[in-house]
Amino acid sequence: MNLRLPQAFRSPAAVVGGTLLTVVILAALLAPWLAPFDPLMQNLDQRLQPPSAIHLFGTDSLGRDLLSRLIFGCRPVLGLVALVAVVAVPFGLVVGLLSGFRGGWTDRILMRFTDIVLAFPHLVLAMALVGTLGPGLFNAAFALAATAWPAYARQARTETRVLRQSDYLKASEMAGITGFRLMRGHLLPLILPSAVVRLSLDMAGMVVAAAGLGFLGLGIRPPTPEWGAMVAEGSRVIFDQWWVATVPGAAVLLVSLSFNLLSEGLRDLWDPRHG
Amino acid sequence: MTTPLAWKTSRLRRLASVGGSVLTVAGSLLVLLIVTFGLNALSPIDPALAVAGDHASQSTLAQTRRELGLDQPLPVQFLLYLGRLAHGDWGTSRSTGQPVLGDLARALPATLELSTLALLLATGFGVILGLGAASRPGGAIDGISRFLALVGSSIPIFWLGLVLMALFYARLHWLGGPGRLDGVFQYTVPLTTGFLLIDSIRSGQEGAVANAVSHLALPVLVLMLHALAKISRLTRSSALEELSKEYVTFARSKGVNQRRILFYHVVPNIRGAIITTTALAYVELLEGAVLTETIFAWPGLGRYLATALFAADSPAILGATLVLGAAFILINAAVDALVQLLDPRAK
Amino acid sequence: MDDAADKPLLRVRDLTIHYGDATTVPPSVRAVSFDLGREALALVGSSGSGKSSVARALLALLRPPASVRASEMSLLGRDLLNLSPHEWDKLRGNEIAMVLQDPKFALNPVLTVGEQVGEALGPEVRKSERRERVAAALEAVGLSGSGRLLSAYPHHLSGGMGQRVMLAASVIARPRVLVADEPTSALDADLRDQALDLVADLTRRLGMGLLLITHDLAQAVARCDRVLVMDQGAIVDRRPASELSTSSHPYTRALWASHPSAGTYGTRLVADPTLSFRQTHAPDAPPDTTVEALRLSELSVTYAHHRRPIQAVSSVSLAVRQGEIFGLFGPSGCGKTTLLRVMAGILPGWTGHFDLFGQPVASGTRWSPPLRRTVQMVFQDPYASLHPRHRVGAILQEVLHVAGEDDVEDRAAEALREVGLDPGLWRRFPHQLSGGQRQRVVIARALLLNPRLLLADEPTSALDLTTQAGILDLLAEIRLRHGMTLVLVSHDPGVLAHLCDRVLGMELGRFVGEADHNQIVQAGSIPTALSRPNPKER
Repeated sequence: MNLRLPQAFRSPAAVVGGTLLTVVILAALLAPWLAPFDPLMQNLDQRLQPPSAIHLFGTDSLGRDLLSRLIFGCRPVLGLVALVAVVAVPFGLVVGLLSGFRGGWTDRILMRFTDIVLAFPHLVLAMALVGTLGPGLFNAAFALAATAWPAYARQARTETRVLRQSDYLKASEMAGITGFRLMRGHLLPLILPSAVVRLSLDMAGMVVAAAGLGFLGLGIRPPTPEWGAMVAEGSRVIFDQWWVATVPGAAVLLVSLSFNLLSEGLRDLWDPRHG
Repeated sequence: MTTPLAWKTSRLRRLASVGGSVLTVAGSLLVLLIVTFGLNALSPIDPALAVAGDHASQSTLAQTRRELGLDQPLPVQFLLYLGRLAHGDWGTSRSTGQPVLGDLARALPATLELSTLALLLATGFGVILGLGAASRPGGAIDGISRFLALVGSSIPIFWLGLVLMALFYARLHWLGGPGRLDGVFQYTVPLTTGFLLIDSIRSGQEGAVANAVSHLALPVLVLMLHALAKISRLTRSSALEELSKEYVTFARSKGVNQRRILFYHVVPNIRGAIITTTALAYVELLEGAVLTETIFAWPGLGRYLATALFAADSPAILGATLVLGAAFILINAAVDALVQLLDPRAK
Repeated sequence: MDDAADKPLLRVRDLTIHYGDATTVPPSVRAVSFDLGREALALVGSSGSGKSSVARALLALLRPPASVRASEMSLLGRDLLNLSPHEWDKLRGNEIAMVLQDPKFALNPVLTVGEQVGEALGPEVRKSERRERVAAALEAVGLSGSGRLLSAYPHHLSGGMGQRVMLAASVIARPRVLVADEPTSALDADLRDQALDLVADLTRRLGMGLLLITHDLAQAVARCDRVLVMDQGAIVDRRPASELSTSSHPYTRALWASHPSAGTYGTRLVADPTLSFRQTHAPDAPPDTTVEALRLSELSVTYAHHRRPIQAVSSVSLAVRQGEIFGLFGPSGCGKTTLLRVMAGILPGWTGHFDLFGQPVASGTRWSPPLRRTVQMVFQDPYASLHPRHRVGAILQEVLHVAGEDDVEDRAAEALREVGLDPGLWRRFPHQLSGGQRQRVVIARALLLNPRLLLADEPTSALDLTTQAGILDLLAEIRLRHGMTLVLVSHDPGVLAHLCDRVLGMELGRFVGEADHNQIVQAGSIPTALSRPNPKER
């Protein structure tokens, strides 16, 4: 993709977003070593303590250290987002590529199918799915992925159709390059950048959506720390012990923000200049 | 210009595309029904037990099963399910004990009031912000609009709602708290339309309207933020793109001023995109209402769904899903049709 | 300064334009100075010479990061350098106006013709008067002022009509000066003369000063009183139009010489025009072999378009001899590109007979790799025919890889050298090359597999005059060196008259006429030569 490092620094948005995200990823990977306390350890005579030197973000209603729970909470967030990305994007790209490349009936059938799924309300469906099948990381990820892929398929198809008519594909055909090799080596590198931009934007929304599901009790099962669920727990004591709900929510905000910034940065870097 | 043959073909083409859209909508609705039915069937709770009661004997249970058609093959059950829906039997909620359809009908106006207000404000502010940002890139309005767009799309609304309520209600006492009205008014303002703004005005009660507004303020603000971000971002980028086009340069060369360029030349070209985004934002608002209503104890569809989720109340969950899902699908379709209609290129 | 025909309407001194920071970026326009009176003044130069920037600066239409400076810029004595946006709004359209290149983009698609023509009149003009003046303006440009046109939308108009509408819209308020920025470049060759005549006549009748921006010297000379030649941001030559062809300035001479026409047939356009390279290839020599390179009989192509079939090509027959350069001429939409694609084997579904080097070719089947290699194609827009994410070297090497050739790197380097490029360019991406360089890479790619027939689809229309000259020379060189047969499609009669041994004309999918080089010279122009009946041919 020819993204040389000095060039990446030309976009402050990409840098900030990328840095924040790296911090979060590191936190998730190194959680057991970074967290000062055991996130599951309850300490009832230390409950609802305000932020202090020992407990940087205070403690929750069961005396658990909020900072440690925050750090460990990075894992379900990233896990879910990664799952959705790994499932939805390749599926969508393949559908869109095939549809745009082949045209004709393949296109018509695939696109009708895509449109139908696209017209679905994802969050509501996710709620219904998880609500009936039971909470859990995989169910939530599956539900979100099932409604996320159509956007990628649509976008890939539109771009493929335009590119199909382009002279350089015709020239490649004349040089004897056809079929699978054409799709993989020529078409895919061209539709990938906008898919990645869209993905980073989507992820921002996924993080918030996942937290929302967690808030409603549909995410990963407690007592595993998850930011949305932590906000829900804190909501009961929000008026007096504000930190219990505020801190995990702020974390969701920061991660979503960093994805947004990254996507803006990527768009600046990739789209206008390199065509 | 256009010959009769060309005109007829374009009519035919339009009819074909409309037909295709209807097919897609019907398909989506059908899939929605299949999914809700499927989830119903997958639900771990035995519906026969729910109807016959926990203490029913085996034979009663068996008979109930037959009555409910549970021994039939799945496709037949699906048709029975469709029949029940058409007759208004959407099941009974396990938490309220009431028929789901009635619950939904009562809850709907509250949600509509909230989301429609939020949408109107979001569109109004969003378009103006976006246009202002585009006409002076790098300026103050541009900065504000980009900041709002960034924050608005990253912020979890359930958290924002909590924080704002803690601040403005619990600490500062500036605005109303949970619920649609303070206790005092809840019994004195009769619910006729279900839209409290209208009802409180009609009741003529002193302070009722102000109270309704103070209760509406926070949820509407929280709900509209995401839509505002989307709409302003889209308006800004579409307007910027149009402003760099040749027809704007040509119009300028004729002496057309900036204001006319924005409203007379650019806006009609981005109208379609704005409408589409607004509609999409509306449906997302309906989804966002679930979380917002939960926090503000707003008795709408969203809170109904959330409560049902907590209680694992399948009929209620599915009923609410159906309503929200159908609204989603239909609004999308209506907007697509509207955009097609407005485009003069189709003439 | 100059000898303006009258007291000058427009005075410009030391106009300098920077795109970006003036301290780090060199200026795009350097100290341009001229006067414009009640006359037609041409500003000529190749793309990138800065002429469009000058045009826009005159109406203050350049936006940041462009910065415009001048020691003087005045219209009828009124200073233009320090006006507020509001004052500019009042000036534009009323005192000075502009016509742009492509009506497809310059007209707002959602507003009617009537609205857009009357816009320059301003809100104070009342409805009844407005309607009268709009109708008058349309009639002045040769269109009917009737209601039908007024309520039509731009996409209903043909290219020529759209250009006239734009002209009407810009002169309706009787400005004193009209700036026309390449007003005919987007039109088909046969419409250009008419359109330009209209602009020149109208401005003369209305007593306006016309500044015509163009890259076409012949246009400039034919209709303007004076010509300014620009190169790399500065004015390098100023002449009365009649003296341009005899100018002593080297750049002007090179520019004039790179103009392809029937008169330059058989010579190089670049470098010394007196050196002919056809000395070993006399056009009247008998053909080398009896096998024709290409023969088409009753070839037809029909598209099924939304249930209404379109006949793109109707029963066209032609034969191309080996080693010949054959041209296809016609307005856009005439089917020449479709025909070329049939010849390239990338358009299936045709009917008729197609023989390639004596072997018949079938319609539906895909070409076998050996057959595929005999025919290669050069496309119109080099940027669109080179994959933007592949390096030049990779593009060339992939072709060789897929064909199963070895010695890939050496052959790729050799190909670059053959088209006059430094082999060191192999690691660059297309966007890092100039338009001319890109087109040379495209030609190199086409030559890699040693084809016997080279097809070229408007190979130079996306290039400016001097770059075009180089590419045309290259094509002729290739024919000479490899004995290759060339079929060339173009809507530019000058290019075809310069390069082709024979030309076939098409219109609306049908055969219109055929002429060889001598007949073209006799008739004076390609359209005339094609319309004459040709007893010598079949």
